[in-house]
Amino acid sequence: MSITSHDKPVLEVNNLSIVYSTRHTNVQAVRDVSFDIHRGETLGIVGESGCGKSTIAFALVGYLGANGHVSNGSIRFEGHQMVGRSDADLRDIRGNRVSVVYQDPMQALNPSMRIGDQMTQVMCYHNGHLSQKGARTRIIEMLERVHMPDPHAVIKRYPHQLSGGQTQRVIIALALLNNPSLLIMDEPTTALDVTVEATVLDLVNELKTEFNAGIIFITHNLGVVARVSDKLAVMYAGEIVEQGSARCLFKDPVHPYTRGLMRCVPRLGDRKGGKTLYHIRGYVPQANERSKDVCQFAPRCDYSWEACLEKRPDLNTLETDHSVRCFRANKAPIADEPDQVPEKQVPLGSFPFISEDNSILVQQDLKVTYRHDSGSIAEWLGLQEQQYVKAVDGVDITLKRNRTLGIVGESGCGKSSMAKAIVGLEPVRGGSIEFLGVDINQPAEKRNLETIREMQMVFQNPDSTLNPSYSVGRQIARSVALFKRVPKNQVKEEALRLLHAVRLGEIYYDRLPGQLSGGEKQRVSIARALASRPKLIICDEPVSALDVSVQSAVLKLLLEIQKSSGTSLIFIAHDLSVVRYFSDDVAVMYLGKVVEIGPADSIYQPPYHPYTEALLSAIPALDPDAEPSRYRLEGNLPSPLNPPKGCRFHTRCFRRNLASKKGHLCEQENPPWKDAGHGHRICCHISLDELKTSQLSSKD
Amino acid sequence: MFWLIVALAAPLLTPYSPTYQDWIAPKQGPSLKHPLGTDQMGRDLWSRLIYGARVVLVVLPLSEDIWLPGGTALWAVGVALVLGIVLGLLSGYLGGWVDEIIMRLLDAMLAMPVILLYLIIISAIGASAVNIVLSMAIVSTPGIARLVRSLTLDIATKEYVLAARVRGESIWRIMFLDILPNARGPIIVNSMLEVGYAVFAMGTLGFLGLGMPPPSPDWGSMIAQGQRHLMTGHLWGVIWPALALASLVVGLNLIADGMREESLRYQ
Repeated sequence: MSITSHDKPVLEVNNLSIVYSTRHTNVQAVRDVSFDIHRGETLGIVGESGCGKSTIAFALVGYLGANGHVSNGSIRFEGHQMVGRSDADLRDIRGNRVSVVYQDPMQALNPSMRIGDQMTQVMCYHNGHLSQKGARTRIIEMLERVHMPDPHAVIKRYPHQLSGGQTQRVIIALALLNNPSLLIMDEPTTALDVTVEATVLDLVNELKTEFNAGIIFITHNLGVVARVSDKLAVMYAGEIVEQGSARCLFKDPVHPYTRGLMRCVPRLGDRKGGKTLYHIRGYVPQANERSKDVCQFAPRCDYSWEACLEKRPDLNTLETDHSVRCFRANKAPIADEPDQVPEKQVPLGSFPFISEDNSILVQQDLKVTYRHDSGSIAEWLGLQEQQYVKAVDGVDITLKRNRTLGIVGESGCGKSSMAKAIVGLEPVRGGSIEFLGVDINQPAEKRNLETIREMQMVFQNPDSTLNPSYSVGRQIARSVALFKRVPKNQVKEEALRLLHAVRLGEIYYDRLPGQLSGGEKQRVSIARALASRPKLIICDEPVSALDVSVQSAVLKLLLEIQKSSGTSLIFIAHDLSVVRYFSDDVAVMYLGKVVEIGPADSIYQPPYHPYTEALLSAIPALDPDAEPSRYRLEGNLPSPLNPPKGCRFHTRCFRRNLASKKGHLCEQENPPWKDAGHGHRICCHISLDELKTSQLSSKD
Repeated sequence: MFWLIVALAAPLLTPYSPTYQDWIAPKQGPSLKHPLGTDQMGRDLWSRLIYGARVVLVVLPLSEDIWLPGGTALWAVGVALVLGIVLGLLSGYLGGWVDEIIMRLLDAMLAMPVILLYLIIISAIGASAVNIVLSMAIVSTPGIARLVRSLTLDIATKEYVLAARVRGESIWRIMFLDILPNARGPIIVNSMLEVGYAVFAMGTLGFLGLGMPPPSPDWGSMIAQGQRHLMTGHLWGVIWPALALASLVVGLNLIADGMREESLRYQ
């Protein structure tokens, strides 16, 4: 990646410290941060929640809010000091010389104004002399630059009429309208699907060379930051712990935290049988718990010395492009990674299994639909045909005992709806589900207690998965008591045992959910699911809302539990690497149908379904030098109200021409299931051999 | 800060000093013997005020001999709470036609002008404490029910409610164990306001002559009776009850505001 830099940096931050004043004390959010950015350079700031990266982004544009202020240090933008500038000055700079792109694209645009109007507003505020027409030309030009299809139509639309990816492009276009010298992007792709994220990252890289702006890219995703950054700063608990060129850091990470982060993420080739997933024990200290004169990471560090707990290390320069805040850096660098000693497993007792049959869950032609009310009068009068959102449209799945099935797909593919139908939260519109030989085509309330207790669910959002009014222990005990697996007088004991099994101490029993961290809450919800000793646990994106280092800990826990108790798991996620690591079998869903299903190993090599191929090529690799894949999924997800005829994927498939009749078959007929051996099946018109050869050749 | 104002404003201390009605000297201004003066029949206004507060807030006379704890306003809001919570929970959680029916029922209750409703009920059944409570309860129910319904709609989407549904728990358990405890904040705040409205309603009823039968020291009827004597220069019979009414209602509102501030602070 070429770096064009002028002599003077666009942004110089020196020893920046930011403090929030609360009722009781002053809380130091950011401490002693220094970096600089030149034009055409991208600085990636990586860290987990609570590390202060967003605080820095806010401070740079003066958005700290009423109780935050810069207590020390300076921010020089284009040579001028930013700290303490008046609001009027800042307003001139924001949107003009400095632009910010935030995380949630849907919330960043004014929902009651048309796109064109909003963009015009930004332009005309800073360029008073510009005419309407001039502004419009420029806006359309910008939208074309961000590869927006049909810009003339888009400027007349409202934000809610665009998809997430399109909205984020509009925001990027908005940010670049006035040719800023600095662009700050705060987790811009976190809320987007993986394939959409890949296209947005492509765009950012393209624009970097074109606009020559300095970019600050803030994220917690190491793969994403590897793709876009030239320089990298890793933050932990408000401090920079490692800094330098991206290439150096990825090739040779020195700080234990950086190394830990990189090892936490399962790479695409990892399998659960082989490598144990690393996890960083403990949790990030809250801003008000941090002690000033020690190394912040020491309590969680596997390599800490005494000195680490007595003094705060300085940021030492190792080489020109690499500085580390660690006592061990120069003196005794960490050599090889010792494999983590597996923690002692807490025995859960095996769950009794009655029937001889190997398969637990058999689902045939499952259909889940939602009524779509367009609200028009014609519909109300009964003149228009009722429209249905076909969330799940005919899915067959068989799950065997003791196996983990991973279900992958992007938003809108129907995986959550399917999970809810299996568990009884959504009504089933067609097809059948059989669980342990019993037909469970009924809502959860109507099922037998015996059936219910064999199937439990772990949900996605740790903040709302526990009732905030009751203590953690009571909630687990409630489950235990309900399902009567132990006699009444042993309920509390059993709840304590479950807490122990998810590696939470006894003191957690009386704590309220508000006092727990995200990872801890998710563990409690796992304990709650285990209370009934189920044969099947359905996990609906259980780790998506957690930080990377906590994710690996929870995944390890789930794995252990599965091994010791023999529970089967259905693991739903959108992160392919995690799913591959974790599951025995994988099913890929698109727009309500399964397009590929098979053992985890066989899914990740050719031949694979073109959609799987797109998903795989969208995953950013943890290597800044890696060539990004050429395959990008164009277009938008078709509406599930009216899915495409024939093969659902044909509107976006880039291998269509390989099918017979030059791809016309894909529009006309439903594709058949093709068997690729070992239980691996692909639903496609293209012959497996052709798929395999063309996919293998494109990999080179 | 709010609590301080509240403590000063709300004459909730009044019911607890036992005084009695002295039937001797009529129409006196404030004096040492009678701190607020006396009314047209010579009754001490201060004690009448206190007893008026008692009726509304502390004690509910069912009949001559049976007294229930908690005055008319409190009982009214209590009944409204029970009805409102159940209706609101059912409406919000079950949705569908149950929701529609309940909402229309509540709409009907709201559509009636309050005073008209009272007039109808009380002139039909008569003015006794219980009937007053009933009519005030009916008027307060829709507000509470709607609040509970909207809270339920929000809480029912949370995952811990889904988790309870996955466990197959019955509707009633979910409503009362999961949803209600997490809705208690706004409900409590709203109840304080409702008590204020109920007190005011008592005043209105009393003023119209539909309140507690005489010689009960109902503030409203005190105002009504005192009103006749305004022209002769005897203000006290009107001013004190009016001030008492106003300060009690304002005081309750301030309590409600204070509670809301506190709960917001913890978020």
